[in-house]
Amino acid sequence: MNGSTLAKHSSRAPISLPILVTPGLTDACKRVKKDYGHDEQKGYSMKGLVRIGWLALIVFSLSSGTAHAANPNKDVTNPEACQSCHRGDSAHPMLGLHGGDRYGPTNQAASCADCHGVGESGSLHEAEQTDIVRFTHMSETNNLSTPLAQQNQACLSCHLGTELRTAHWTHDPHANTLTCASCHQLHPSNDPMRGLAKQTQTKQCVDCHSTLPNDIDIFNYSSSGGSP
Amino acid sequence: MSCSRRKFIASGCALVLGTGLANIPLVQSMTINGKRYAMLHDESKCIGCTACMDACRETNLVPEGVSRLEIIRSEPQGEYPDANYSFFRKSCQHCDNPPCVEVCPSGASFRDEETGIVDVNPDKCVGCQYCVAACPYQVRFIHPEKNTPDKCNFCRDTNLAQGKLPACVSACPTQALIFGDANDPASAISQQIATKPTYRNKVPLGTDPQLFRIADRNGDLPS
Repeated sequence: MNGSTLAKHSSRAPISLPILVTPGLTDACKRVKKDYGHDEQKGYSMKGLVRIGWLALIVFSLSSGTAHAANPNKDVTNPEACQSCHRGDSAHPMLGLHGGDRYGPTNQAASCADCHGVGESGSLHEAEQTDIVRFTHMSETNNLSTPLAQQNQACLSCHLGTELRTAHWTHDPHANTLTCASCHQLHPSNDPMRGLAKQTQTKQCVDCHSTLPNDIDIFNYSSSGGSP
Repeated sequence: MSCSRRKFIASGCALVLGTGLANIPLVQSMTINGKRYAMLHDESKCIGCTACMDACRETNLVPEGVSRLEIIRSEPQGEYPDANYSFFRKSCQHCDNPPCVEVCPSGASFRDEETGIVDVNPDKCVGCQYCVAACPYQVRFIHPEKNTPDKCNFCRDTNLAQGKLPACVSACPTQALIFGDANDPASAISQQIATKPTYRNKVPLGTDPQLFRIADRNGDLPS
């Protein structure tokens, strides 16, 4: 995670947004309706449509911010707020660099929204959790709630492909066929995949690959089609 | 110079005897009477996990630092996330015409007539290391404990002697290794060699290697 990514999300912090939105929003809407509203005779003017579009965009993004501003405990940019409810359990602890530990020169933690996104509605909760990024093991379901590419893209926004290759070459051949969470735990104090003995690494390969059907072409294997 | 009949016959006999003796090869016969064990490495199935290397080391008690079998991984071909790797098995090729056997002055390097397996008899070895130098595949090494050359022998004295497949073959999770009698047309390896495009390493040297390979899709040839 670098500083710029954190800053991007921090800029979404919605603390002062309600003041901007509530009175101004209504006025702006009225103005648009008056000036560029639909007229049966003239039809829509192009300029009006563009302005309505911009306004809709602004309203959308502002309302996204207000959702959690109303309740500071739901501020998705603050890991501590999320963890007041999402504490994890012994099997799935909420620890480590992805679990709110502060690190780096800015002493900032990765926010939950950095990886899970904020959802289309801007609220993890109000979106009924349909459009947030969920990180899942490939074997959990054939219909991943979040597509493989989207899951891995969230990881790749910080963990660069070149760094992954240096860490272990097996990142390369699995990049398009496995979710990162298939091998890695995401909120542990220490990822168990780190520092594996050579023979244990080999065992990881064998355990998985010996279950694959023998006649598949592993160089053209797509995980989307069937169970791994 | 007088040449009696007796001397002529005696020298004639000596000449025939001498040439006859000179024709007896110093090394053992290359003729294979029974099985012709061979191996096929399907590089298109290999995942480079090196489980074969671990199994070989364990079964044949190969010390750390040396190895009878290596899987050599290529540099990445392509950029993340579309990079691929190729894997190459480096081990004894069990040549039909093995240079290591030819150069051995003591007969320690030999080719088993019943199986075609190229092996080393440490009791006969004088340690000249000619075989190490002669092998064009560079698979021979000096065993740090026996102080004699060592290399893959298809587990001839371990698994094969117990009626089992070589350790590397059993350990492979993707069945990328096939072992069997190439003289038997019904064996799996014969059928694979007959039906799939295979290649062997350094064939122009005339060694006639018996380690066959199926190339993966990352090679130069368009797939």
